[in-house]
Amino acid sequence: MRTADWVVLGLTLASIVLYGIYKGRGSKDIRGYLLADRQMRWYTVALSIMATQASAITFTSTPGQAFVDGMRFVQFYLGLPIAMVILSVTAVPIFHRLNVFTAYEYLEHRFDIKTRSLLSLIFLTSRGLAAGMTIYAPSLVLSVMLGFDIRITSTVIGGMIILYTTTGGVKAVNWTDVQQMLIIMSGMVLAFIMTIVLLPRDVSLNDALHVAGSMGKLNVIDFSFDLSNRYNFWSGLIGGTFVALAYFGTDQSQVQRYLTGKSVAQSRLGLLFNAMAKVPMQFFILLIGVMVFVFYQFQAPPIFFNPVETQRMKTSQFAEEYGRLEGEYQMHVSEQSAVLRQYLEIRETGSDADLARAKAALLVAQEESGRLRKSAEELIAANNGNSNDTNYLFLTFVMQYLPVGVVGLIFACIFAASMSSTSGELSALATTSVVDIYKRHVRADADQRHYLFVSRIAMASWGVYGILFAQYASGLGSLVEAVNILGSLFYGTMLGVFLLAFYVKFVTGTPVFVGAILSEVLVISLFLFERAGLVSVAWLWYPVIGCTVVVVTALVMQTFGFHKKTQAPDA
Amino acid sequence: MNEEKFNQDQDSSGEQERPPFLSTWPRLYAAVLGSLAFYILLMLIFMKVFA
Repeated sequence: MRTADWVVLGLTLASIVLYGIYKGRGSKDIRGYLLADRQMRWYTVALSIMATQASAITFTSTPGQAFVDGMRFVQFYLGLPIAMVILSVTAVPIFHRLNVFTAYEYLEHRFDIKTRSLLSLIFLTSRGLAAGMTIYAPSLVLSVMLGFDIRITSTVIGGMIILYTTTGGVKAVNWTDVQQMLIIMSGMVLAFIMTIVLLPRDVSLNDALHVAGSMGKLNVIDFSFDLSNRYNFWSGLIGGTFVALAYFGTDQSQVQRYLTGKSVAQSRLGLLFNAMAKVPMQFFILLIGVMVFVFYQFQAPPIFFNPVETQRMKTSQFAEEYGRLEGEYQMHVSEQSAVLRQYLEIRETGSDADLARAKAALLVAQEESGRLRKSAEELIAANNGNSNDTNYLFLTFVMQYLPVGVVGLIFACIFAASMSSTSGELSALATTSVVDIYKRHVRADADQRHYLFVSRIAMASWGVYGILFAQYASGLGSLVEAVNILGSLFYGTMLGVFLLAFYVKFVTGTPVFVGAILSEVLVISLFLFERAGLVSVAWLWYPVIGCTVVVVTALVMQTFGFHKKTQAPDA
Repeated sequence: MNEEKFNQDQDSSGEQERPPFLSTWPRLYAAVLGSLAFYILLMLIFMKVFA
């Protein structure tokens, strides 16, 4: 990065921190600090929801995923609008009427204290792990791309977040989310424009999309039903609805965003805006990845995009073999580029039969380049390196080909995305720690000043934990991936409990509590069996399974023995 | 519509609240789900055109 890029990056980050501190001033109690006095308008709620969901990895890995795998990932978001409507009808009015600080507080109204505490602990565990990863993952990518130690990048990201979340609370989080979302979207639009501008003069956007389509990258919708296929229409629509219901309905980091809405209407409109905007937004980010893929059809890409791993290979025992693969790949890519140009010419003037032949030749060439890349990945894995480079694809393109200033803006986007999701998580973790654990179990009779002080301490402590996790995660090696996935294994249980709370009036606390524990044991076992290669179930189905186990167990137990009545005032 | 009135939570289900640009919440929900169907249709056309 050049000086102008550093200036753009520095000014953007400084403006985020200062804006957060400015907008977050004046909280005198925990209602102000943890709920922004419930004064947020729908557009603030909407952009805050979107910014919290969009992590830095969304913007580094999603284009990379489209490069490697095409656009099928967009199907994961098909269930989101359905979930937003369901939550607008059910959860939003209930949470607002009970005036709760957290989603788990509602569970004590509806069931009992043990169910509230169990769910709070499940949230603190799963989101706590995720929050560590949310700082770790972008810190690693940025440290590789900018050449800094991960301790520096994680401390910069975490430190800035701690500064404005601790001083300004949720008000600062929500307003900076809005600002961050605007920065992110402007950066992404600029990146997309650049992918078109940087195409060869004789290749139009229309040509580029035809190239992507013929090379199988526009696989947006796949109607085939296959449980082991991670992203298809059905897993997206059914599994995606469950995941979105669980994430937006039971995860405090999202619930907190719409609890700050000025009214039920404002919160609902925030959720519904997200419902309308999310699918096009993800489509657009994936399309950037596809355009980067097309760009690299005319401009030879490196065989592997992680510069640190590439450097390690060059000094390893595999250096000679890796060098040979690199040479072979470069030669093949230039041949493939010629085949591609021929395809484009035939598309303009040739017959259908010629076009089919040219397309077949193109696919053969693509298969060969895929084989060479795979060989390189296998060598990197054999050298004990990370053989997945999807996080580095887009940023390599940005650093090598985008003009000065734009590079700084794109890196500012990545920092902003990391800060927006992490700050939402930290504020939710602090709120649950204080409201559901400290205020409920440790000290219930303190004054507002005390709780405000404890909330600030909790906010800062979770931030410091996130930074430390990021700095020591590198030592966990492949365990990091497991930790990352483990965080998502709790959604089904949480969703099952909340579905019963909202919709099944006669179910009481104990059957739900037992169902939640049983579900968690089963889902974690399934995950372990999957890792051992004994079963094959794509992770999108885990929430469906977990949720079903909670609901069925609770209903069976309630029907056959647990008839003890408890008040169900809100279901 | 008066904004304050719009922001008031008039009943427990919130069904009496009306967004300013559509007459009822159900219509807004239908619009959201309709937009999902529209996006799917657009993506299918996109795939078909550029395949």
